[in-house]
Amino acid sequence: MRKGRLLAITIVILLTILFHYTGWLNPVEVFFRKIINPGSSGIYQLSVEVNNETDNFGSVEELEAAYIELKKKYIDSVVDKTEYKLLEEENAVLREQLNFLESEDYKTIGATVVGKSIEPLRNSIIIDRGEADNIRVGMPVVAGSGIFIGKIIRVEEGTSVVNLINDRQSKIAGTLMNRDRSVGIIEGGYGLSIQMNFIPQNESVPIGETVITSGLEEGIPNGLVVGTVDAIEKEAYQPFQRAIISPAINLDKIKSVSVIIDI
Amino acid sequence: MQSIINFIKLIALAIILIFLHYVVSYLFPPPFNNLNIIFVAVILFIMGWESSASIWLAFIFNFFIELYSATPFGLVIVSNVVSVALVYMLYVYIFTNRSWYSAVALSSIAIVFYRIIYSILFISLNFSSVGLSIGWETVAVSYFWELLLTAVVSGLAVLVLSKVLDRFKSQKMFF
Repeated sequence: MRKGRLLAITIVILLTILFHYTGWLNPVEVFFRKIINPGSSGIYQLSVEVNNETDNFGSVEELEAAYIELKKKYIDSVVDKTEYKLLEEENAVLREQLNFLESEDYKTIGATVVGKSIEPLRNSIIIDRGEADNIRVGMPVVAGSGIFIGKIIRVEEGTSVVNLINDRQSKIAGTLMNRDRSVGIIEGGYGLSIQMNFIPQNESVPIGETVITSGLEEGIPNGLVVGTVDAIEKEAYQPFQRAIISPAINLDKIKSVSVIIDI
Repeated sequence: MQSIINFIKLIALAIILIFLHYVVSYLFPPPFNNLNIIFVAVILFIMGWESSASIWLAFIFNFFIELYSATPFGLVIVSNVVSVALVYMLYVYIFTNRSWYSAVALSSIAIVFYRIIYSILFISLNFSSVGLSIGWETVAVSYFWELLLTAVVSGLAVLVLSKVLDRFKSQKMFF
């Protein structure tokens, strides 16, 4: 390859990066987003429809474990209908308590998911709302009736990038709905599940307990449902224990979200 | 005028490739969604046409990827274009034939270069993030599948094309 060509591509890359950060490249970026967005959105929405039909299992053992767990749950529910009903009622009450989007008067804006990150080091989705819709970096994003899924990390004119709670760079202050109302940091980077760290060792954390946002972090309201506790990891010599959290919604199958633009 | 038309053709090709990439990433089940379409296309482009336009194709494609990226702008472009340029030079100066195993070797080298540069830049740009946890185990598995699938698909593509197109016959063509 001629040195001239190598120099040319280097200069073009450097200028592209420079012009992006100065904003001079914005019209070009907006133009190409308008071309790519409809296709990307269509493929993404189709993928959610297709993936909704099936669950993915990494191995036969994983499938077997899922089957055994499902069977156990089914038998439990059949054998003890009374307990099931009580749990259902308790669940309904908790949901009612936690459904802050309906009880609190947050100002939200709806958005459609047009794509997701294809980089292995990030877990993020792209939505079709941006700067023009008053979206700003750091705003909380919810799905369904108030399930917290992440924060805005990048805003462009007509699109925004949402950093999901299972991203390895996501850190959110959370509270457990246990007796002690334990607080901790909800972190991603552990595949499909998330972890809640820094829970004091002496506090009781029941399996299945709901985790909500604590509101200790600026811009994130208190009480948005994050998920439920799947397992606890504790070491006798450590001051803190760790909870493995299962998100309240499948983060791979989100079609539409709401951005809380005013708390 | 011809160069402008060629540039528009490259943009159109990059747009087609990005949709193809989305189809693979969104619709294919794991681990098949790790296939890296751009490297398959670039390897075919390099081996079939031996043109440095492959580097411009990589640049345009990755510019589109950057429009939706959660990483700092430039990270994907730099790591991808640098690795494509290295592979292009390897093919021009070192590889002597147009065989399926050359395609497998080139795509493997490209992915290794790309992921090393990408990871180094990612860590460097995030060094200030307190307690940044990178689950290297899952990332390594993802990189492995990307390498394996891209190498296999590139090799198969060259093998098939060499039966169909004169351009992909084993003798190298120089322009």
